[in-house]
Amino acid sequence: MAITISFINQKGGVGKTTSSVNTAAILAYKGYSVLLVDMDPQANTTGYYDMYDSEKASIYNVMLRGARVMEVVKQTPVKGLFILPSVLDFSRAELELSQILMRQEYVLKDALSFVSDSFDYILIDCPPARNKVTINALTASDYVVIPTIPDHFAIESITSMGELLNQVKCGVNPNLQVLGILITIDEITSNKKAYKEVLQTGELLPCFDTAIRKNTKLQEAINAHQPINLYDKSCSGSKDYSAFVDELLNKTGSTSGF
Amino acid sequence: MSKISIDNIVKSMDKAKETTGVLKFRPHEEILSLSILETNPYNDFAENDTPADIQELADDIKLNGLMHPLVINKIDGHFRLISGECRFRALQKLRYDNVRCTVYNDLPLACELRMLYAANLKVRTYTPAERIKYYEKLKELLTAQKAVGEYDGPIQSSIAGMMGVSDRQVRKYERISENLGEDDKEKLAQGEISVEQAYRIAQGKPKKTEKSVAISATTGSEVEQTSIPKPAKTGSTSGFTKNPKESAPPEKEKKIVQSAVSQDHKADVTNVYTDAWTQLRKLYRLFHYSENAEVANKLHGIILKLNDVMESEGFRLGGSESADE
Repeated sequence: MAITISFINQKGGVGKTTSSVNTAAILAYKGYSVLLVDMDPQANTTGYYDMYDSEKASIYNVMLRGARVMEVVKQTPVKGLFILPSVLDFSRAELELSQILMRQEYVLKDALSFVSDSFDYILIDCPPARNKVTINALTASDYVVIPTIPDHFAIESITSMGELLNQVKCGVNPNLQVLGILITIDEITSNKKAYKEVLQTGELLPCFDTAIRKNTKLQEAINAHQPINLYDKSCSGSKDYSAFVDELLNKTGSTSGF
Repeated sequence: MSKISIDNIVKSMDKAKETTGVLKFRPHEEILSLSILETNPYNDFAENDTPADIQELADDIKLNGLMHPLVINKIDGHFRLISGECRFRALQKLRYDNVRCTVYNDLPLACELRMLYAANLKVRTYTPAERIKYYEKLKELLTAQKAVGEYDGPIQSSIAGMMGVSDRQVRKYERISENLGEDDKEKLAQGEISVEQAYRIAQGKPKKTEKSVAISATTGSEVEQTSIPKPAKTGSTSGFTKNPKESAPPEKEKKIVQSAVSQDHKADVTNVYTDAWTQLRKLYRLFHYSENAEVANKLHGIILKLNDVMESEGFRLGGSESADE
């Protein structure tokens, strides 16, 4: 059974795609079998690995056209890492999902259930929104990571995510757990320092000890269509994401005593 | 650092916590191995489970399956039972391996104990003696936590919350616990006397450290506490007094004082105390968030001291605005 983790935050530009793409790659590098699901019609995750193709089948087909996941999933250039790509047309999903008669929230979960045994980790990159697509991702997930820039808007967006997660836990997915807030684009400024400290107290929600420092190499890696651990192993972005993955593995470690 | 408004951060954090606080303490279901579960050291009531009880439950589980998941607090790497010790022992007997659990993450001890007490209440009836014993345990726990700064709220009303009884009832437990002689306690345990009777007996006796005041058993008013000089924490003997002036007022004067103390006065004191406490907390957090640990700790000490003084006078925090963590 795969461990499914969603990267969510309705605030845009906080590092959801960067985080999910690099986390997936590092997990694959460590030998895990990983599926990266791109739920954003902007399809940045798909484009990151230079795999955008509007002609080919995508998450849209899987969720709304009855296509099977394994027929649509593609191997990325990174060994062990597979992707369920997205397309621009997926922006129609919101409307189409609301026309489904029953179990609108479970469409993704049902589709992924067929491949759950084929992967160790399924990472879902969510759009910057609170909508049916996000709810589908949350219904299908075991855990949630909330990437966020440590500034004042972080508190508001985390509150907003908190409300959404409360509803999901009360309704479609009582077992969803918040793995933690992941601080991204961290810098040594007094403003970011203050908010980082406040977030890392864990008073709002659990927060990862690792923070991802601002690092232009992370943008350069996109241009190269490579995950950061392959693009530049020694840069701070690579080190930070590796540390984050270690923390994540620790937190999602088997607790059943097997 | 001074250009960042800590106050703004604190304000928005407070608001955010109303939402995230709820989320943090929602449980999830998980299948756990029996071998990692631990029983709860505060669950004395399990002593009453006989091997026959456990066998009966084991037979039932074998026949019908485990119908209700065990309730666990996952904290500091421990998986501690909140509800389900009897089922746990039955499952061990059956040599079952993996069981359904409802798991809370990092539940504060106060919540855990409240749930433990409530869970047991559903399946066991508490004798008065058990209630007193539980009260004593909770008091010990909270006092210890307070001493190391882990807890800074009012003790009596917290215990009242945990046990699901009124503050007044908790004060009665306190008086019984402090004053009742061993033989009377035994009578209470055997059911020969009721809690009310025990309380009246306990009221009739003067408190141990007090010299002069015998409180009339007919008082019954809520302002019956008299102040006892508390030993100073540094160990100096200034708290112990041979000076009659510092001990409680003589009985005659006390009766006048009591009748003069109206409910209005009590309400006034409660309100001002609550305001002072709330403001001190805000002040403490301002320094805490701006990394000034030294000042923050001093302020924390002031809050603890305020609580001590007020509690010894029989006052507790009131109102809902003080209901932050």
